[in-house]
Amino acid sequence: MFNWGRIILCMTMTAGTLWIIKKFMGIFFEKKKQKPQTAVLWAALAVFQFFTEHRMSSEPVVLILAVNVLLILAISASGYRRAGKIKIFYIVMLQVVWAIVEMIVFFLLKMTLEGYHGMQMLGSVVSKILMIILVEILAQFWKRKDYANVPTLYYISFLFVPIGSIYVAIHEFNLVQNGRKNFASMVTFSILLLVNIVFLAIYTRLSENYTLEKEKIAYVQQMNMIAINTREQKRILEAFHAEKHDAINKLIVLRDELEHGKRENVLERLEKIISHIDVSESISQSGNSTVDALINFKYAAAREQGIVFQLKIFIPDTLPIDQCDLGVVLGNSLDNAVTAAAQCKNHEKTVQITIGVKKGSLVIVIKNPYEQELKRNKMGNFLSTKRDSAGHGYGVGSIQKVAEKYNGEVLIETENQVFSIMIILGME
Amino acid sequence: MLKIAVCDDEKVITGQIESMLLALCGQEGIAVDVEVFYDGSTLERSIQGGARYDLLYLDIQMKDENGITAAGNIRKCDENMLIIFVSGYDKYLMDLFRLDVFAFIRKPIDSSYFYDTFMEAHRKICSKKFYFTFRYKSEEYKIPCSEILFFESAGRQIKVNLCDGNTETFNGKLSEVEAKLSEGKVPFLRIHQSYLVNYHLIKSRTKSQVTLVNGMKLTISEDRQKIFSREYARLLEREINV
Repeated sequence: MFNWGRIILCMTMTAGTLWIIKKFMGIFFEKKKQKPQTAVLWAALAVFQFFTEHRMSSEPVVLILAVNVLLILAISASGYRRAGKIKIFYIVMLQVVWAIVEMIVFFLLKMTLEGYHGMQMLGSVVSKILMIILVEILAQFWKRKDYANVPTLYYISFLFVPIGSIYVAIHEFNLVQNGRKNFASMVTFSILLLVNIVFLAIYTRLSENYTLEKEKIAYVQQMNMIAINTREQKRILEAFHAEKHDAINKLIVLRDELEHGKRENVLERLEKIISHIDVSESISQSGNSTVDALINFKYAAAREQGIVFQLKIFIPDTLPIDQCDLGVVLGNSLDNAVTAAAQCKNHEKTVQITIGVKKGSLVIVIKNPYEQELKRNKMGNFLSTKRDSAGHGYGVGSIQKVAEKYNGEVLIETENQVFSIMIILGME
Repeated sequence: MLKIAVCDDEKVITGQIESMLLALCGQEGIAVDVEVFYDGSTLERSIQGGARYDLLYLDIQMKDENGITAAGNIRKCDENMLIIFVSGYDKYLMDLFRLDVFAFIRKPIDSSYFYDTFMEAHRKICSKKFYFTFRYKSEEYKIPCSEILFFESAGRQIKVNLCDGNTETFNGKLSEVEAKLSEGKVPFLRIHQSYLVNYHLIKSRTKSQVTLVNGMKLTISEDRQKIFSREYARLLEREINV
């Protein structure tokens, strides 16, 4: 015979659980578009919850916790947007806090209502109500922002806190179940709960700080870009003034020579002026000031290492692409090309830069010879061969990020000791 | 016969381009007919009157009318002509790039660059004369590849969607068509189990779809996105490298 009352209660409990989880994820993660897989996973979680509720957990707590965490993680992976590491942290945290709350409730009930046969159900109801209140409070106070992840080492030590506490809590709870009634257990549970909640707050605060730090780096890059631009403008202006001053002198000489009928001299001098103008001007003169400033700036340093730039650039004077993004893409790829070319001993140190606009996209191709062996990670991505590679957070990865922003693509090819990177940025 | 128009208000430049073209074509054995215009409006009138050219060398800055306006008007009549902009000007406006410009040449003209762009243009013009042939109901059909927007498989049949909006049908497999066209000069890209698209008639793309010149949007299936991106990028690179 079914105990209908009990089934209805279990269903209500399951609904409550799902509500808590959904609300919690809504606080910390951003919802994705509805997908059928997500609904299936929610249903799976509901069924699992219903049965654990109904059978009153004869299985070990750890197992139930693990299945719960895995199911919720799967839901968050398919239904919510956030870095996987962050999701894991918050979900583990939720489960641990929840488990500890349940243990406290059971412990208190055991102390006061020893022998009452509906105790388990009552405990479940009370802990759920407490969790609902807790999540509601969280939702009131938490304003969601997209914080970046904290470095891995910190992350692992942070994750240790909930995992460690659940171990201690389960151990303590087993003692309680075996009949120990001790005020000290209550203190342990409370401390664990408090520690976890405090760590949740600290973790969020820390990732907030890291986000600010990253924004600062982006800001510094922006400043650099502007500085490069200004310097280039200044240089052009100075060169122009010098040229103007020179030109007058040269014209006077020419006039003088013409007056004296030295035709050959005049021609020779004119020839010199024409060729000199070509040399003295900047290497990049595409008309787009951002691109020109960057390439000219990088070329000034590259030339000293015996590197030649070959350019073929036909682009509009203004591009619908943020100049900092363009700076990140061009600056990084040129830096890489120059570094690799500079180390070449058997190849000509030539960096080819081709930029054009086709089919609504900005296409950038940079080719350079390389002799040093390239390192790739397991995913096939290139690793920096620079000595302090951890410091180079703005290599190909940041180019890729910009490309993603513009619906574009980064393609890398290596053939016959020539490294070529091709970046496509959508402009529509 | 390659028909070329040269338009610049400076006689020195038109003369230089014309003689370079004639020398080049003589050397390469290409039959050519070069016509020279000294202002945009005469050129426009000639094209509106029905004259057709394969290739146009056009100055961006001219006295009476700038090259961009002229090119815009010409494009309304003729979408196929390749346009090479010649300029002494060092800034280009975005409007220019919306006109599907084949290449840019800077004054003073560098002869080896001029040679390279011309040969690339010649190759592209020749590729327009490639035909796709198929049999349907024991009749032989022949369509210029440049007129084909995309092939679409529908059951055992293949629908050929043409630029003018018409469609042709024949029996076959898309993979066979793909194999047959892979040897040709006009690149066709398989973006989907049932679509094979003419690269030249793609206007723009995102990760998951392409927009054709007629505004039609086609989906790129998820499993082909990676290969498509790579092929598309290679073709783009070739185009900016002329």
